[in-house]
Amino acid sequence: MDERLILSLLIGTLAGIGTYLMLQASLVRLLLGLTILSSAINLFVFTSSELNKVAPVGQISEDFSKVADPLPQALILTAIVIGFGLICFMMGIILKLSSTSKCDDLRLFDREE
Amino acid sequence: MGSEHQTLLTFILLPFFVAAFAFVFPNISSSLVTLCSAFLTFFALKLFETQGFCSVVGGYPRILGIELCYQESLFLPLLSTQLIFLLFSFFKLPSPASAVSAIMLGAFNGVLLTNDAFNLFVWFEVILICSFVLPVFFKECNFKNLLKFMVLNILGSFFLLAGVALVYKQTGYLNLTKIKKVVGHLGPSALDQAYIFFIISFGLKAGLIPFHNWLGCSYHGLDKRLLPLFYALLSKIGVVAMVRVLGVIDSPTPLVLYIISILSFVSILVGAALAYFENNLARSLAFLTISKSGLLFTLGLSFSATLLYMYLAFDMLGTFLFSALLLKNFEITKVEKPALAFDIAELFTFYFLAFTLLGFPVSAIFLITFIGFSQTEFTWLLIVTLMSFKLGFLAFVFKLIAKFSSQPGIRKASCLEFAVAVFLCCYLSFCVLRRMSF
Repeated sequence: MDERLILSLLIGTLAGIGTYLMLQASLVRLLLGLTILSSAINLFVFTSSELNKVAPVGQISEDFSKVADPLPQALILTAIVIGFGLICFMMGIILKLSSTSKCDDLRLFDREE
Repeated sequence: MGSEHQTLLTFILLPFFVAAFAFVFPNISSSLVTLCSAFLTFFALKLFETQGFCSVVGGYPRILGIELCYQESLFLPLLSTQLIFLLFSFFKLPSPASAVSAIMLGAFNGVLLTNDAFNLFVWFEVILICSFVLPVFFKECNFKNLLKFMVLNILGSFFLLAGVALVYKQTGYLNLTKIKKVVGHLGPSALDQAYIFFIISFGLKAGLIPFHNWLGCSYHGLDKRLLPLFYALLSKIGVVAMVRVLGVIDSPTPLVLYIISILSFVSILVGAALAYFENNLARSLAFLTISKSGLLFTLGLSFSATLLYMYLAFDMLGTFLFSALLLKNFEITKVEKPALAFDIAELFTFYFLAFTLLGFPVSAIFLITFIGFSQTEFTWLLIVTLMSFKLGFLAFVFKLIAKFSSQPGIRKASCLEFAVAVFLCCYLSFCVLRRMSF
């Protein structure tokens, strides 16, 4: 099976799962949904270059067209670090919210207001 | 070249160093941030009438190094940003909040100066993280509203990242200057898909209709001292980024043009209407931001970036001063009468507001796009548009005066807004007289 097709299916599935979880009323599911969606976007960034298997560093290849593009990988690394920071902060907020309200249901927060 | 390089880097690095010191010495954090903002304001003033230039951090080749570019049109936004943070540092903030505001200043300067699509995303993320963290240091923080703010803005960032990936896929570059060269060979529609992602992302960040849901309730839950900064800068920076990204192609395709026109059109009208019918001051100002963002998107689409930046700079400063004075003197919640109860005078004000906000910019777009105005007519049309908008805004101020009785704060705020409007008109007339190339 074509690698691009597999990746596309994977991105679609992850984005679908992420969106579904984000639409749930639970805070934990919201967090999980965001994390999964972020993985889908990172994979999407990965597909922005040719899917070559020869590593860009440490191997000598005469044919540069077969060498993997290192830039999207660097971008993904940066995006993962930023995403991790955001998710950690969001976990803190969710912890604060759930400890105050003793629940993780967003609908109940609306009723309280 | 060396000193220019250091100048641009100072705008980004100095706030970060100051933030680090401010965290270590919390007692003097506020003074440190004030000093830093004052120094950078002076530095920005030094750039007046400096020709545009670019410098690569570390002196690496352009494809590897991070390129910072200063354009003459960025002078006013850059100066306004430093001034706003200088004024903000005089607010009585908790010490960690001062330090975070310094990081935010560095990130704002990064967005204005970077010439790289991915760095734009990184600086946006830094701004976002700061905007999430800042409210936590204040006693008045509604965590549920903050969560909504976070989730929708993170979603916006996902779209931005996807857009950047698509741009890289199509062009093979992230440097905006290089992309501009490559897109010339690819054709204007090559980046259409990426632009759709950018519109969603920046629309979410600027709170354009229909991405505005988070704005009213999120800003409602924040501390009064933070709100002026958020109104003035946070929602406007999306417009700056959009203009920078749109600037890489000479003329957007009709698809992109129609989408932005319609979103801006609806935002101007609905934002003004929502602001008018809202009795909560914080929400009302937030909805007004939507209307202003719509106008700015329209201006960015129709006219050259120079004029937009010029207007944006005055608008940011005006919004900051206006909302700071207004919020200082008023309780945020005013619910004496039902939201939809209005008399004939208010209705008249609303129509005046809607007409001035909506009529001129949109008609300008259509005149320019479909009839093809000349540059001189363009300029005059723009001046009429901007003056009308300021007039419309003053109508809103007068409506507020009528609504919230005779408190002295609102009078000060309206006078201030009026002064900024007059100053803007004078500045524009001065530019036209000097035959400045727009």
